[in-house]
Amino acid sequence: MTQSDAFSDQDLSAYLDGEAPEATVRSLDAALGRDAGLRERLEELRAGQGAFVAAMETALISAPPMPDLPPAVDHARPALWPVALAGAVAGAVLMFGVTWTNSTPSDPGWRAVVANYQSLYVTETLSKVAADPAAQQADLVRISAALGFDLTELPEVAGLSYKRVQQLGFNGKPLAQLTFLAADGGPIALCIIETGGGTSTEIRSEVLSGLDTYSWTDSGFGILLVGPRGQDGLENAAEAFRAALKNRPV
Amino acid sequence: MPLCCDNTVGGGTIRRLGKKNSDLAVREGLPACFPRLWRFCLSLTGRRDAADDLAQMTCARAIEKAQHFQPGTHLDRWLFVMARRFWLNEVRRDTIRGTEGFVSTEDVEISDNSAPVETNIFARQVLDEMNRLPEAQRVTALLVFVEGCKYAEVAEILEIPVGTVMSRVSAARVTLAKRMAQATGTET
Repeated sequence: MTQSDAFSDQDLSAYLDGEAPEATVRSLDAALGRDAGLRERLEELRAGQGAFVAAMETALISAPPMPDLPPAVDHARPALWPVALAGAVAGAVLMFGVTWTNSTPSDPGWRAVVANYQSLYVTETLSKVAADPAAQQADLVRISAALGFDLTELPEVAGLSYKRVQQLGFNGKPLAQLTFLAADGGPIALCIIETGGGTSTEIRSEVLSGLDTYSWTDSGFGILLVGPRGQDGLENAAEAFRAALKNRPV
Repeated sequence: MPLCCDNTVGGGTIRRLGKKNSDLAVREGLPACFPRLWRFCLSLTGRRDAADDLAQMTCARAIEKAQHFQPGTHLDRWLFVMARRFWLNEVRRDTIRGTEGFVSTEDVEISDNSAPVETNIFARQVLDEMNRLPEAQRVTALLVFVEGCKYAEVAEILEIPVGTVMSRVSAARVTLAKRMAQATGTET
């Protein structure tokens, strides 16, 4: 392996933006001094963005004139806010009712509800859970049967230690919640529910309830990995779970 | 000149409190931010007509929601978040439905007939260059390469994890570098 290959495009890209970790910057600085191939790769990545930046700067002169703004509301006047508020409350109640009754597991609803629940988790929620391998396995067998998705062979994912599985429910369907602790104590959950539909081609990343989430579908099941905002390695963990939990309906 | 991170509005000159203050800060700050808001909308939509509509709707929404803006904070980022949510929740669906999916740059009306010819040539070049990247990458690339935002700031604006920003920026750079190599015939 040449030194040039030792750094990913992502390393080089983060380096160009001043966002690479200090250790990467140090080793890259040292390698750049010795390796012409690496310097060339870095220069190609840097140069590629030039035309894009130039086009974006040019775009500003094509911007249309700003539209006329609606006139300012005189806040000194007696306000209509009690009426507006009542309307908003009624609207919110109606929306809530509609969302509550209509949401099915294929809606984004289940991911938001799971993330909201997970936001209550702290390190201590999981650090005191006693690990009894036989009992853990029995729980996995039971919940796999309830869910219709085989969870009895969980992959080992670097940096995550498995804690327990719980059966939760959403809209009358079983929802499996597997919890893990990251090496730094971050509580992580992997949640699975039958959603219908096929298998997604990529992982969707979203911030929900202030948590990082990665979700995908596989053979009619929705799977979501959720952890603290900025948790190291969570995206890689999602890739690992996605690869390991392929085609598991039972 | 990156503006994303130092374009605060209203902090120095407007010290009165309350809704009126927020409304004023948004109204006073919008004209300076508008071209960049429109460009952000262009990166979201990939189309001039949709960008015009989205930027216009975002301005109207910004005035409606002005009481939520905190004078002294970044008006541009507040507008970007609003435009993006608007696009995701309401506008994109209609745009896609209206055109039966996104179409190539050549097939859509990108010219503003009232604009001088030179401006229209610019617009076409801009869209051609921009649409070399898929939507998620070009929006991220705009914020990092052009607006000069840090990854953490982009993550806030786009409501995605920082790791995703990092991989999108990298993917955008790789795509743009390949395109350049093809264009200049230096591809190995």
